[in-house]
Amino acid sequence: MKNLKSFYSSLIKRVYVERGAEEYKAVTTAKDALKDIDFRVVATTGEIPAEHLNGTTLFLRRHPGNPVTRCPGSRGHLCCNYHTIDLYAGCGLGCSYCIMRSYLNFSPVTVYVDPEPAIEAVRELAQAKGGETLRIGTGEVGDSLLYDPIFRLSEPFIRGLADCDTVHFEMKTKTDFVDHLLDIDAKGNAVIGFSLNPPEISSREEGIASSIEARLSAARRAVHAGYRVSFHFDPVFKSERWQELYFPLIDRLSDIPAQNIAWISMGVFRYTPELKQRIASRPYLYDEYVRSADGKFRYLQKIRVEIYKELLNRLREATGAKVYMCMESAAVWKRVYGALPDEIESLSSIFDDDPARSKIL
Amino acid sequence: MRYMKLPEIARLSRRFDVFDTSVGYDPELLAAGLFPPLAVSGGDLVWGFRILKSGSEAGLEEFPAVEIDGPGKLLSALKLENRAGGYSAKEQRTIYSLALELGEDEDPDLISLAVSGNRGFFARMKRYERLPGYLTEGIDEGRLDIGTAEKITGLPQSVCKRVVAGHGLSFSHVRRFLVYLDEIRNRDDMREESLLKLVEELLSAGDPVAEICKIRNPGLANFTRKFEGVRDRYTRNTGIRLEAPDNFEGDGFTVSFSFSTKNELKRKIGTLEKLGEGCEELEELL
Repeated sequence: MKNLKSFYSSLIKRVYVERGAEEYKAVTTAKDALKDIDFRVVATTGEIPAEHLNGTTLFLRRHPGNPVTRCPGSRGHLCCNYHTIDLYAGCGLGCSYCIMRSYLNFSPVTVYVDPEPAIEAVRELAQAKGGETLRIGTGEVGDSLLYDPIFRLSEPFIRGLADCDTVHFEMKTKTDFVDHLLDIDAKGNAVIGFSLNPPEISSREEGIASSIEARLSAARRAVHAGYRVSFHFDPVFKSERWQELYFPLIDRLSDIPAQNIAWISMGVFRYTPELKQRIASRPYLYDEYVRSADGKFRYLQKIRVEIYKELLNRLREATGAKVYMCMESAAVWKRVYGALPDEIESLSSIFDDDPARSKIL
Repeated sequence: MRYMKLPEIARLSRRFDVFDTSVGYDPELLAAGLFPPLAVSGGDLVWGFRILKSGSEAGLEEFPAVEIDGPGKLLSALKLENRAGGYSAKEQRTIYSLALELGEDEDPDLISLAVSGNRGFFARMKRYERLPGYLTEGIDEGRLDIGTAEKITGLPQSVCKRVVAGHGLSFSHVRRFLVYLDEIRNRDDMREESLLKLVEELLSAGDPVAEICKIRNPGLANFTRKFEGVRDRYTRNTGIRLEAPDNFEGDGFTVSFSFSTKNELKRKIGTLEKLGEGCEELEELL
């Protein structure tokens, strides 16, 4: 968390606040943290000048609809029954492969400053599901913690859901910004998730994200403070020596006790045609990809299976944690795990939900 | 409306002569006097160059003309032309130059809508201007689009020109061929000489796009070749159809056949049993 002030001064150039949202705690907290930035009040995003519609502008607002939704999944691929909360929509990290590049280019980063309706919605959802596990996170359309030291919006979720035994609230990040969360006493089942790629790839493709070293160090601090952590090897990039890059990184997780790792996910790099236009000419695009059932391009199935099998073995050896695949087909599950996820005992807490949804979308 | 004689018209400026006049106005309509008047404004002939050209070739010595006032002359000309979305690359280039010259006299949004039917005309032309000349030539000739040209600026000029001139390649084939070629160049770090050699080999093939696809996607090409080998070895001329899932994405292969007699069914079951010998090779592909 060194030099956070200068970090944010390059990341955030201006802030607009929706009229009526000025008095929310997250807004006043952010005003204190961003003293050099003028907060301008507007009725809608329509009042934001076109030249300010980009990722260095923040728009602070109340959520207009249902802040809790199911992860949309991907057609023809197995869904892991994840739910998402809109909290930070958009991201200034600048990862070259980010899917948001294909649809959020001309949008400010939106911060939903009213967490209470979302917390209440999660509690109601958990109640409606009875004793079933509810995995839910804020990292679907933005980095959960990139702006969190300014807005402190994760804390009310952690506290507000701490007494819900079945709720596993995950904050997914490519930063090491965890220190403001460490002293929260009631952590419940909160999970701090770290997206990981080998340092050689991360430094090249993940913009201003924290170094892998810093993320791993933050994970250890989080574990030490009593959090469970998760790791997301997603996207995994194939190269001639991909094992040499990924295996040492995986091995570095071996000193984190298995009981402190909530889950680990794997997903190979995939892209939509729209994203390819935005990515322009990154070297990884010159690899070979084929169109999958959901219209996204992935490595050949045979190659994906080989990659997943090797990753899975190494991850199991190193961590003993639950490992699952994100957005993969039934065919790949059968070849990697020998079974579909709802047939795998160790993954039941992740995938067991509405049985109909655990099937292929 | 008034009538203007040819010498008077000849004194008018031709800076609005931005539309293609190669296709003439119907001579019978001209002879019957069924044609719209020229649009003139101050010292400019704003619209009617095609009528003027065809009419003077047909022997007309004077033309009806209407004087228009104020700014927006180019917009008036575009409205009279009424071909939004139908202008050639060359016409768009000249319209763009004139619009820039006229500056604040013209509303860019309205000009854009009148040229292309959307608001993207000026942004597109700015992208066009940034391209090297050999690529804009390809666009002007209708062999390339701006998006493709932007993607392939790393290809040597000689290679681009050779492909664009490639006989037998449609517009869409040129586009796909060049994009694949540029990706192969990046992947394999190919230089001009080897690229030219590759292009010559590919263009002499029966289906250049299919051939370059194989080079761009060697894994898929290899799987396809292996699959076809098994399929041909076990099912050729047997009436049994063996299919792989699209792009070898999926859980299994499909066999289908029909039969009309018991003997025919037995023969086909025999073929399927033989196909079983090739199953391991197929399993390797998924």
